[in-house]
Amino acid sequence: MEIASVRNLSFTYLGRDNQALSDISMVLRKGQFLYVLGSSPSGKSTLASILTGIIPNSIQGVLSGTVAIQGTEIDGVSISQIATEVGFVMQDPDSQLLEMRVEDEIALGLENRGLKRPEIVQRMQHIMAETKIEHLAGRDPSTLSGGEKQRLCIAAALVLRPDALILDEPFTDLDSEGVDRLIQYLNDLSNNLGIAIVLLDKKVPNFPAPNSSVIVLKQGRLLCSTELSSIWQDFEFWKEAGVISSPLAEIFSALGIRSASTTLSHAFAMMSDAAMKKRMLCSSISESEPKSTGAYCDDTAIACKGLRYLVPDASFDLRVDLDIARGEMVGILGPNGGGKSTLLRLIGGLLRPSGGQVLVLGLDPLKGNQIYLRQRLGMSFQNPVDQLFLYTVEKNLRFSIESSSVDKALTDTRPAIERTATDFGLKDVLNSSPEELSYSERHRAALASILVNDNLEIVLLDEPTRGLDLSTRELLFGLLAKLKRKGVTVVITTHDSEFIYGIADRILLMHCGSIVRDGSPQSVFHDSDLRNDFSVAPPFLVDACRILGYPPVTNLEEFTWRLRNYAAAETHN
Amino acid sequence: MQRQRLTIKLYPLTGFLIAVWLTVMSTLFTDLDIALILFLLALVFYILSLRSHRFAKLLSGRVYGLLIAGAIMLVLFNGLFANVNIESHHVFFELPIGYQHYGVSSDGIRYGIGAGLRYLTMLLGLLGFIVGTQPRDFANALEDIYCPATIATMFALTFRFIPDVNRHLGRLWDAQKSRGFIVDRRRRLGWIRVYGILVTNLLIGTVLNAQRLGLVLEMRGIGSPVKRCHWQRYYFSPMDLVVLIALVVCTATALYARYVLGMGTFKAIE
Repeated sequence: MEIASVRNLSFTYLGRDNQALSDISMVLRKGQFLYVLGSSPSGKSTLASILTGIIPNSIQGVLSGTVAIQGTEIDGVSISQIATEVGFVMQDPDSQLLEMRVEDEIALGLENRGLKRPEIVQRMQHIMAETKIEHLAGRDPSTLSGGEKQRLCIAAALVLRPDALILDEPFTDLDSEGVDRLIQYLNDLSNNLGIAIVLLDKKVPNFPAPNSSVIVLKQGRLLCSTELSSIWQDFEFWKEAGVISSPLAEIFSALGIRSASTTLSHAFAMMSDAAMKKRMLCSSISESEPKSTGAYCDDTAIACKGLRYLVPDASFDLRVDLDIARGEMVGILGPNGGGKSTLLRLIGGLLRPSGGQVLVLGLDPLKGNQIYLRQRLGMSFQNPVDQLFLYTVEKNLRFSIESSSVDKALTDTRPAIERTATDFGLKDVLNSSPEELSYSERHRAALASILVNDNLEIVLLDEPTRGLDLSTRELLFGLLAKLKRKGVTVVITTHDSEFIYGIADRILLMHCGSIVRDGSPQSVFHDSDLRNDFSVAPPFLVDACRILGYPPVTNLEEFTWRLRNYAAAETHN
Repeated sequence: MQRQRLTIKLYPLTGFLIAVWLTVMSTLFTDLDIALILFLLALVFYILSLRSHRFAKLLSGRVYGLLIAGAIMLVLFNGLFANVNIESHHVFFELPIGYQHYGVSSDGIRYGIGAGLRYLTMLLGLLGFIVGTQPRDFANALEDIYCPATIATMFALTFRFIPDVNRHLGRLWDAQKSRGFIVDRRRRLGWIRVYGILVTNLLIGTVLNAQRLGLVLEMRGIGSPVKRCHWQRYYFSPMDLVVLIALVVCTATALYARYVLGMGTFKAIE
């Protein structure tokens, strides 16, 4: 049974020359699990906006082709009517939360559809239990962590029991447990209730849903439409499409496994089987713990002494004692709502501690020499929209240069702006408003507005990989490596253990406002209990090494080299 | 032993009635003593509202700053100029502004203090209602008394924007700090730049926010032909009854005192 069908769809935004979508055809069937993958801007969000009626009802442009929901063409149908058939969870959770209590947020859609009070309460309680957000009852959504907000948005969409649910990059703010649970829940919705799931993403999933299909978009054009399992390990194709390939697929490929897995435990079993068959398993190769490679100095860049902060509406207080050396690159990981962003804001002087002290470059960020500190400290927020407050990208960059310049007589900011714009691929959009940019461009502009300052000694980045496409992710990786070489201290909060594993010198694990693990990435991630105890997924490379009994490696090349060498040694023996 | 906090949870419309009553009384009575009593009542209402809801944390020092600055402005303005309407002129001192000398009278100062208190009473009443009532509770309660859903939603959205604007302001402030900007107190013009950016961004942000809210509301089915229902029940408690009776009695007494006995208007010192 067809839920939605799209035939020869093209769309151009008002005032733009390029087509955002060009000649797209697709069909969405009951119970289907469809991935729509592509880099940014590929047209994924435009397609979602058309399927939900936002285009052309709210966003103007030139639309051609036909779109039908449940057999009815959507031309002239209102957004609220379409919403009963197709639910939509947008990329940015902040932009879709309306109410001031969690329960009200979930109930709003049901109330507007005139359901009776007992049914509203019953459905609301059921969905809160399903999405595991019962503990958030009574809280103000604006005080929730990014992941909690995302779960709330999903609950608010699912409570309407739509025939199809479109989710625009729903995993960006979720911790490992949240991702696993959401995947499981979406699979159940698709299999048991027959709800069609459309998942928009820039990454190939590690655990594709069974029998899932995929359409891959690039610059508004359809690159391919097929079963996901058939191209899951086609890394050349993903690179060409600008989509981030699955790290698990890469490890499977190295181990010679040719099929995808749907769950983590199944993936581990497959890895173990494959290694056993090829005699690559090792009982234990003991190696001393790898030393971190960072440019350590004796100087302390950041010190938190008996730091305390009463987190509003949370069940815990943040309590941290911490020293970060100059030139160190530190990753802070932990479950949603564990206090990562709060710690970063305390270090950045945006929050006032309830007790203890924060020292940044030896100064209190709230009372010390503010001018000195602000010239040397840069901070980016989770949401790039919060970072850009002037009307063009250029003005935003200029503001940063002028605000943080040590040179009082600075007059010509143009060279620095142009250099940064080139580095960040923003040259063509310098005069554009941040509102007109794609999410990825906005993210790059936000990062550029921080890193345009040449005097930075400390950089604090809150979830910098959130929603990034392949090219921007690679750009960020290069920039961080450059900062590391320059001896800049970098503190990054993230859920992206694959990214941080390759770059950080030190990992801090935060749980309920405290640092529960502190060490090199290899030592922290090698702890097999991370997933269960702290909802932190180690990189698959670490998992693979643990299963195979190898000491931790830092990249795929090293892993492949070890596999080859060990297999060769076994054959020789 | 932990101290129990005094909290009162009122029916959403009761808070609104209190705010309206305080506003009306503040416009009726210009006498300093009565203005002081009304101000104290508003203060109690505001403090109880603050204690009743976590939502109150959204109010920042900026709001209080605005209140106090407004009250001081009123005292000064009336202290300078209100004496022209007052029968007896007990001039305290003369204030030279340009070529003019303005007499600042004791009556003017008293009138100014009264005006400041009345201004604070009105705003504290309004703030007490805002912080103590969730916007949607108010809208739902309005619908319960057969107010059209469109008007009720309009009210809810208007109040919904207040904490939103406050949060947006905080985000802008943090963004400026995170980008290396710090107000150099030696450069006074720095403030103009900061507030220029804040105000223009707030305006633009509010418009964009309104568009976004409209879109999300549509996606949640607002405006559909079926009659809206709401999941929460609102009960009229004995405390609401006490408050309502008190309001009626006070209103009757006040009207009698004001219009029959001629009390409550500002009188100059003989």
